[in-house]
Amino acid sequence: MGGPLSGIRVFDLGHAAVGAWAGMLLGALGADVIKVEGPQGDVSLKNTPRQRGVGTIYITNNANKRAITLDLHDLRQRNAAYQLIKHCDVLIENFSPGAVERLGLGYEKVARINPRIVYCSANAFSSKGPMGGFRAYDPIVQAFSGFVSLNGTEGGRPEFFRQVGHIDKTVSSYVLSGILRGLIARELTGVGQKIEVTMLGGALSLQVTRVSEYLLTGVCPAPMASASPSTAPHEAFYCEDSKYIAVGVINESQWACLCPAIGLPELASDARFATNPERVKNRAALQKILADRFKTRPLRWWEIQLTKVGVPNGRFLDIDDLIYHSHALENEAIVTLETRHYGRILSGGLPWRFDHTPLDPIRGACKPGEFTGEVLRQFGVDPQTFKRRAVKGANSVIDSRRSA
Amino acid sequence: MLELEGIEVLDLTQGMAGPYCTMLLADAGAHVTKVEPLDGDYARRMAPLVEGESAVFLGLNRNKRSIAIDLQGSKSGAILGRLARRATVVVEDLGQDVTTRLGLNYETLSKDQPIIVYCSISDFGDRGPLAGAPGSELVLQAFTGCWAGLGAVHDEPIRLGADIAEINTGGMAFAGILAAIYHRLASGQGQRVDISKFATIMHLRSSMFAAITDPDEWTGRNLSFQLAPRDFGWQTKDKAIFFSLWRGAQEDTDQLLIALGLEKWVSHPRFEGGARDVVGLGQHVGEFRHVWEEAFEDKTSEEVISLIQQAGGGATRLNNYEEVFAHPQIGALNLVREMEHPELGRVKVLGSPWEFSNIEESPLEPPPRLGQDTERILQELRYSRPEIEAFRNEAVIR
Repeated sequence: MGGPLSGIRVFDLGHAAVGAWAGMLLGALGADVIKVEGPQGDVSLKNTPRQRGVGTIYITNNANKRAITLDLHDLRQRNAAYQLIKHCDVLIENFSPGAVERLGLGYEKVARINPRIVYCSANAFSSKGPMGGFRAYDPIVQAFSGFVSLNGTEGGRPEFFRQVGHIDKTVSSYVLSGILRGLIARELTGVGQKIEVTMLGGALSLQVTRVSEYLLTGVCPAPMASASPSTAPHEAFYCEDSKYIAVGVINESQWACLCPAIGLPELASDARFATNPERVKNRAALQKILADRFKTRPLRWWEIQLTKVGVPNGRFLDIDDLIYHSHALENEAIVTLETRHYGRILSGGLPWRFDHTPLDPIRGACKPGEFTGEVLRQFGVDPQTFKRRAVKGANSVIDSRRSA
Repeated sequence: MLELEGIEVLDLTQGMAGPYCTMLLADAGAHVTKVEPLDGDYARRMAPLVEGESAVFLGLNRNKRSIAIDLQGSKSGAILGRLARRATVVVEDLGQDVTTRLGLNYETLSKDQPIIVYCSISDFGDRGPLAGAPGSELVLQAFTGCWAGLGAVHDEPIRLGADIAEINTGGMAFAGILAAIYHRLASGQGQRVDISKFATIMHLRSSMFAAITDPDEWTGRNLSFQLAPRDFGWQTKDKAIFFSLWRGAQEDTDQLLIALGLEKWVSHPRFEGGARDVVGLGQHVGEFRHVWEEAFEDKTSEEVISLIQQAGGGATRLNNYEEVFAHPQIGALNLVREMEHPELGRVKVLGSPWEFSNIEESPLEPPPRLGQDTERILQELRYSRPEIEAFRNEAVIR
């Protein structure tokens, strides 16, 4: 497998979104990712919408993996897991606190089997504190972390981001970078370690610029429609043809270029708007002047004028537009995944390009358990032993414990 | 220990994405030299400012040193060359034209130093019709369709208030650089890593593209969001909440309905399966929102949350930042730390999202003043006092 993590192997207990997506990213970077599901399969299999009967998020979240099924409540299969773990560098899990220990795969146990393992647990609020162990998913974290409080019309009520799983993927990126930090540390120390990532921590990190604003000023941010709190003019303007253009002036040279480009050269020497802090302070007055100007011509006119002078601008595109957009396709920002069981499915591409260790094309998800036999045999476990019924006598203690 | 100790980073970025990435590198122990133009990183002028210090700049630039140098003129090349020679990681968002002019492009640097890890951050990427185009947070949210998950159809488009394009890109750039460093430790080989904000947002929106490919039925939040009305959660007497019943036992759901005075819904098909269709992200949440809200109207969010929790569900208020940062969970996870700042005194900063069993907490050196370390860095680069004076007089440095 190509990529900078070629040679790394992952025992991926990640399910649903946060854990599964992190495993996908490690696989995209070249690691051999073994997705371990219980007999019921990943909960996201049943999410809607579905394609060929399987949740589309399962299909994209589990790209680049070989999926195996192990019933970790069965001691023989648990032993098989231990055998695999000896050959793995990384373990990911995103169960509620306490659950992975009950499956016999807590960090202490796993580290005894393989001290080099870099073990990352992801959960909503951690096991500590008054909300320790609190069950949550993306919208709860959106609400709790203040992410929702930042969105909405000016003076309007805060609103949820209606697309599901946005925070999840950001948290996955911290799982990924946490694991990479652990792998680098392992090169220095020779041993692995335990890492914990919380959705709360990830959600707040995503909001670092707004959080920093609050921590310094003590002023609670409120929704600002399309406007930026930190730079101006940086918002949407309504054009003559009833379309909106996104304009983002983020430094002084862009401001100097904008004014003549929109036919208002005198604005550049207006003291109210001379610097970014002034423009933000006087945003209402600035917004009125610019809104009156932008509505006199169609979007395309402004797009040309602003692009010519290097002022950031853009259209509001729909998902349906993007799948045919040459910029998305040429940058492989949208890719078509081939899968053996679910047909073809679109997905976002990867954020990075590496030049010496180029990444392989994303491999579509396989079926749950598709690689159980192959993976177990690869690591010296005979999957046939699971099928034999427990022998009475010697194993009866184990059996009775299992059914308790 | 901090695992990136000893790694010298040349930071040629400004604004949000790049500086966030290099702050994460610095937090992990790397030695980050921030190269700023003579008038400084433009984020130094991002609002709000307190006593002349930008909150955004404060939050994204700890643990770095600053050298202020003329990036427009032709006299800075030699200084930049010496800086680059001692760096083993370079992060830039200047673009190929500028880095080439300054002699800091990947081809030039890797020739002398094949171990260099060189990360280029751009807005729209380096290929396609918008290659090299400048972007901004709103422009990127607009172009990638994020706006459609907010607001209402035919109404003005609005944005996510968090800087998701910038910060996700900075975080992913950090991951890409770590992966390249890891590979280098094993192979001795550096490389170039390219990342764009456009590609980062598109990758984060994978679920959206997957959902519209060929769904068996047009159901699910990631299809219905565009036509759905604004989602304010469920209003109670005082604050809005979000809740789910986790598809719990029907007896618990029914108890909750009775406790809320909603017994007439007890055998209603929509309230079966732990009311999964009408709570959380259920398919019929919109139609039945008013049912819950009528029951919540005379109860505080605290009362409602308590009832939901008694039924085995999960609920939270829609917190504003004052509520978030007053919550004891923040302290339990060490998510806010205190940093000493020379002008502002003791300030609060956001902590890291990770906890490691064998890597120490990140240091908290305050962000540098513009050119704070220019002199010291030039001395480290073996320039003499007269040479440094001359640079200053010619406005090559500050």
